[in-house]
Amino acid sequence: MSEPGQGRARGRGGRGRSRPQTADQPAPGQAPPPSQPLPPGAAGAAPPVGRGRARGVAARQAAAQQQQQQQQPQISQMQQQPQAQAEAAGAMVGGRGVQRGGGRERPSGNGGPPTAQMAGMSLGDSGDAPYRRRAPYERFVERQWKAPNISSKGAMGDKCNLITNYFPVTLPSEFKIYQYHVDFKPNIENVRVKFAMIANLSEAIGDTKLFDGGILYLARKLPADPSVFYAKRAYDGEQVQITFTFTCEVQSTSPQFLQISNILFKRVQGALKMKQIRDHYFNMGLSVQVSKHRLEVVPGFTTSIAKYEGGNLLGVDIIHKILRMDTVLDSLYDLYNSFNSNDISAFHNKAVKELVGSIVMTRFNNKTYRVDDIDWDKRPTSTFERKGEQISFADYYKQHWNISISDMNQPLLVTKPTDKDLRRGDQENLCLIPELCTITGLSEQARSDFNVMRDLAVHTRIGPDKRVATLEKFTRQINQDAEAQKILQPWHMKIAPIAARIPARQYPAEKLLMRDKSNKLTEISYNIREADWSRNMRNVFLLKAVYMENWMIVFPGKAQSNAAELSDCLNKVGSGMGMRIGHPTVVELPNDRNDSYLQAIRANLKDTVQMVVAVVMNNKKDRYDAIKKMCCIDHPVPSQVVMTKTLSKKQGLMSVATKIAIQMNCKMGGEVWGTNIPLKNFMVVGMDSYHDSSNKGQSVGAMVASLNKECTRYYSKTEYHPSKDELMRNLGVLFTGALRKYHEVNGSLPQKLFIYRDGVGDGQLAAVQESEIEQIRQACKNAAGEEYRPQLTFFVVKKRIATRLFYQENNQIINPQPGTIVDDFVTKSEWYDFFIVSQSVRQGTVTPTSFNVIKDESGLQADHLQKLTYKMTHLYFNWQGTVRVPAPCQYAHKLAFLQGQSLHREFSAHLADKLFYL
Amino acid sequence: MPNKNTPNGFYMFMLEEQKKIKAQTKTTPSMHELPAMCKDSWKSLSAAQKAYYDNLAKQEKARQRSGSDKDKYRKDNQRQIIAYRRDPVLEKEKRRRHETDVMQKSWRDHDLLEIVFHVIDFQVMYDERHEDHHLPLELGMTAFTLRDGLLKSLHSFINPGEVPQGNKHLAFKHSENTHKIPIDFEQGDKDFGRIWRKINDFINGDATDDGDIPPLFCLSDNTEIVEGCLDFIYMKSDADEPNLIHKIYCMEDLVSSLIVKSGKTERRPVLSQINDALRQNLWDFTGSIRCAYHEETDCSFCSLSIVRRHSFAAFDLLSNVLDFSLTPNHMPPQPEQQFQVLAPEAFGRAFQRGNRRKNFERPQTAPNGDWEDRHQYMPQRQQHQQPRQPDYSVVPPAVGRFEINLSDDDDDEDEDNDDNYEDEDDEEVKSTHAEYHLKELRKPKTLSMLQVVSNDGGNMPSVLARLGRGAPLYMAAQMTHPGGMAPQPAVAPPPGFGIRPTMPVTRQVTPVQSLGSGAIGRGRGRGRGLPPQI
Repeated sequence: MSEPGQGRARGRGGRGRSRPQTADQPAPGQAPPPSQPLPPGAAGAAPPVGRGRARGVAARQAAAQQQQQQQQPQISQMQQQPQAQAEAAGAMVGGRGVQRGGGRERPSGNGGPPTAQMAGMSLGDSGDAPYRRRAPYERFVERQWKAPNISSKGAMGDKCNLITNYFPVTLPSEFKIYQYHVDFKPNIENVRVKFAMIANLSEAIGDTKLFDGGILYLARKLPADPSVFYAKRAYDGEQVQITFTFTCEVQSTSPQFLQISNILFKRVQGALKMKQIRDHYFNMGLSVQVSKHRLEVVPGFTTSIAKYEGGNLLGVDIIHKILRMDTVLDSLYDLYNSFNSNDISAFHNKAVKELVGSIVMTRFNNKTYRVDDIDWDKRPTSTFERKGEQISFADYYKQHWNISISDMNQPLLVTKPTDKDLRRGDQENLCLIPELCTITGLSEQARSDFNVMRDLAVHTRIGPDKRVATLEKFTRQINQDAEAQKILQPWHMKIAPIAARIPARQYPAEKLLMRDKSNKLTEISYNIREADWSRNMRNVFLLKAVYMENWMIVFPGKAQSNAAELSDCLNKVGSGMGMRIGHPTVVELPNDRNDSYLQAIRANLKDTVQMVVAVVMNNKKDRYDAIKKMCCIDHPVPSQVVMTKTLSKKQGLMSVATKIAIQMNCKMGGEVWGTNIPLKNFMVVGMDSYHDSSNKGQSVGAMVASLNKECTRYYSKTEYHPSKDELMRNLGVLFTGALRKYHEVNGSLPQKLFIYRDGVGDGQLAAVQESEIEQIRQACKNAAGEEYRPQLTFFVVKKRIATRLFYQENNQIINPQPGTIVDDFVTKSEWYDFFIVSQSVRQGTVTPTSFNVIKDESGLQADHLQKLTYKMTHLYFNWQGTVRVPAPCQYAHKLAFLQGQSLHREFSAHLADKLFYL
Repeated sequence: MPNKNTPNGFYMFMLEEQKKIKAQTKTTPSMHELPAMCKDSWKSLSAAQKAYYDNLAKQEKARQRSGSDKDKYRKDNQRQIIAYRRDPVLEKEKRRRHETDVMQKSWRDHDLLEIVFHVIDFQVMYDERHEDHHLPLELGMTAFTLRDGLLKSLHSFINPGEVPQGNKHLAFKHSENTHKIPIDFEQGDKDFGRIWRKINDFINGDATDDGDIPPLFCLSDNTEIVEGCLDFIYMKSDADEPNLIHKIYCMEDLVSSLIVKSGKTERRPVLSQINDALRQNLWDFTGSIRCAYHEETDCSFCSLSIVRRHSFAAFDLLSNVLDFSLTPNHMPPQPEQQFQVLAPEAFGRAFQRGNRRKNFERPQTAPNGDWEDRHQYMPQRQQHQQPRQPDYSVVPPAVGRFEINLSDDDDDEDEDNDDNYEDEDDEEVKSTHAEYHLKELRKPKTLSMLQVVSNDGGNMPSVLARLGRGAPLYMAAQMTHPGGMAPQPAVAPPPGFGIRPTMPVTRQVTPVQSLGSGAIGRGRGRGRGLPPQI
């Protein structure tokens, strides 16, 4: 028995493969429990697993010629006519297994991750045409991203040792397993029935097996090929012929074996009594109840086994799922009881408002759904069609899940099929029983409740010491648990109980350039542990202060005292920073309507006004949007919106004013601090994208490029691209603009371009390389002619990674200090990648940021690229400390966010050389 | 399943037989009938003869694969023949071109300024890719002529009934993000017959002499919504008469056609720019043009306000092109001045004490040579070289995207903007040209409709002086420069952050001929390029 693999060994799940429906494995022969409470049609028909794929195969095998012209067959489009599914199911015979025989066609005998398996299959179908989908396999796994003669290891900084969340995995060195393709005759559609049958054959084929519905891996070779067995179908006793056809041997050193080990590891987690919710396994037994807020925190792990420079490593990290302790039915009753009147429709409206849109989980099968509606007319006694018969919800749950529904008067929740369901052919809305549903996640209300978040943080933000302890406990448990060992032993897989210790380096604190009171350049430093210099810059002047002589403050009458204090404070703190702040034009509004603000600003905006400060009473989004639209598009002028709430605390007002003053200084084009970068003629560029909330299907791509040697002045520009391809399309425009501006400022063009690109996954590296880098090259040509060829260095920045690093100090495990750099062991051998811990966190475990250099022509050593990256994390002026990503990336993110959320169109070019979006 | 399009030996044989039969009987049997007619004679063929036809088939196949019409035989992943695939974007463009032609023809023998145009907009329950229907919640329509401005408008809330099962989440989200109209709104009209009649009456009054229902205009992004909503209303109204409202045209096409018709330019302005101009945010929150409900909620997604805004924007764009003057009917009524400007003395404490206790002794030049090239942050007054306008320049000239910059001068960012399109495809290049043209058209700096071209400020019609931006609108002297070419940038970049000290120098130093190839030929010196640095 095994489950269909859902390994994510390479950061990207197998394309077109479906996940197992539930975590529980049914006993052999038992009627398969339907995976969904109400799948009319789907429950009885073939299980959804791989259907889309199968159909694709059927079509393709039949029309091989046609297939050559297909570029990227899209699964989504392969199932449009429902009646075609029956045919597809028929065509599935042989289709899936053959296709999944990953290693078969590959001459080397090497297997590959699932993406590659697809590719391998089709080579056989159309041998004459170069098959395009083979490429992804090479891209992800084999492609060398770094030049072979360049070392990606640095040496600068103090050496130290870190603990990681990686555990070495020992795979057998001389071990082969055998891959078989399994055929059932007559064809069996239900995977679980297949599992049961294969399980019954264990005498013949041995206990050591891994089956996913089409492919069978065995530890020993069967005597005959093909081998034929017969089994009885449990529920009707029909004789089924099972044929095993040998496909290939899989060496334990091949990437395919890693894939297998990932599947195995999922089974291990299952054996440890963990439950699968979506992708990850959770330990329901260890859940913590926060009764005060009626919440439950369930700990779980994300795991993946992959090959790194330090060998095969198992990466584990702790994740949490937050569940409400109440069922939806409880919430409904609470709501109902809170209504005194008998106004049913008011209650209905309120309930819909509260519950619709939330994600619920059904506890019996741990699946999640989004509630799209509440059907007030349906009851658990209502019936639905299943296998052509009408059955009531109550009976269904009794029969198939052995759950009795106690409240027969509850309404039902309605959930619409997701895109994936639609692709699979499930078109109907599903009904869920509120009694069986638990809301997951936090409500907006709870999220903004400080107390709730604090109480939860105790459980979710785990400190480094506890995290290491939990992880090592987990691996020890695997090593001790008999069940788990029974799974791993036959495959000769061993997992080290102790987390890997790796070498790392620590950079010292950076020196920051500012000015002293006599306006001379001076350097300030900071405590490296805190990575925060708000105190250190109290007695110095800003690097380049803008004299804010002429500005405007707009506020509603009610906020007059706040506004007066603000302007007073600004004046005071400004003088302490070398930033003179003059008289504002004071505009008082009778109310806080949007139009009043706009009218007032418009009317008083003389062309000498440098800054508009708007004091607002609340954070109404449309007003903010309106102000920003006017000040960024129609009448370009830097603007600052301040909420009265932030001004109401008297004791914190000075520090608030300081921050606002710094921010305004940047918005007007000033500079706050700088770093010394010992390079000449270079430009650092940050890129990020954000989905525009109003322009459907469009994403904003923002680019922010440095203009001077200290990287304190920036040029910003945005573009729109269709969001379905994450890559930016109009980079040329952005880069030509940036290069021109650079030339205008410096009188020369940059020789080196350092580009930090955020928001690309591992799967898109090649696409980025092909599309974006090409566009940048073209832009350089357009800006300055054919001969201009700057040296490009392209970093892909990733913030959300599972890698964690810990520092051990006197038996105490703490977060590594900011400036810690790792470029060995947990990096990939084909990549030029490194990790930097640049920020300091007060609570919980710090997450390092991953940098992957996919193109480097700068000729700089790894040390220098790493150091430059580290320096760039110091230059985000909105935060007096280091940030997680290089500052241009953070700026680009801010800009894309502003445009995607508020502006919805390109901002005025007059503002392009200011950080007006801070 | 075999691919039916692939020729085989039998198929080639049939084709030959078909020709023979045609020659003999002058009738062409169809491909349906042929197999039955040919199968016996095919069976009787010898293997060699069959091989001949197989060979023919092979050749045919090869021809299909490599020929210039190979797309006729290839299918995409949705099993549609590639050559016959229809691109929805292209389809829509084609449709719009056709509509534009029809529209322009219908204007023949009419005074452009007298034609009544109708603008329509709907707010819908949700706008979701998966849903093929559109449920209207609010209707707004206006009718205008260019000469007289807005003539009338129609506004109604609509109650389309229950939210379809399962879509409540979408409806809530859409309402919250945009129009804020609650579900099951009490002001919503459920009588679709009445709504349909209202719409018809609104248009019918302006039917042309030949009884044609005039087209309705909306933004190109909204055509589907408007069509869907109109169909929905018609369907629900159970009207006896046929649905005559089927001309839903794009407002961008209207504006661009009018500009072309004016004869002041040969080039058609770029539609996306007109779209931007029509959607401008200037009057988003102007109270007096909204419906009462949206006025109360202070929300800009009001159909009534949207159609009016579009009309105003159109007047603004066209007033100079078609030479009509803006009357109060062409612009939103001037709201009362809401704000009051306080004297600084009445405000903060610091200013009473006098804030100049500290003299910031900032060196005129940076002490360190390293930083020398960047002392653009001089005190404001020194660098503001442009003589300040006299008192009446209270209205800051708008420098939005659709502002028209006629000067070749100084406006670097704008230039960047324009030049950047070079490496883009034709469309983009066109756009820059057209942008330029649009700029030309709006001669002496029509920033928006608020700015009235007038040679002497004193002569300003009194009504205009109050309109628009809530302040007297007089144009600065440069606006009235004859010939439409302002001598200097009408709009200085917002001051205070950077005169660009290096810039003029750079420009002189940079020889134009060293430009990248793309940059040359843009004319007008805007392709100030950069010398190659290697």
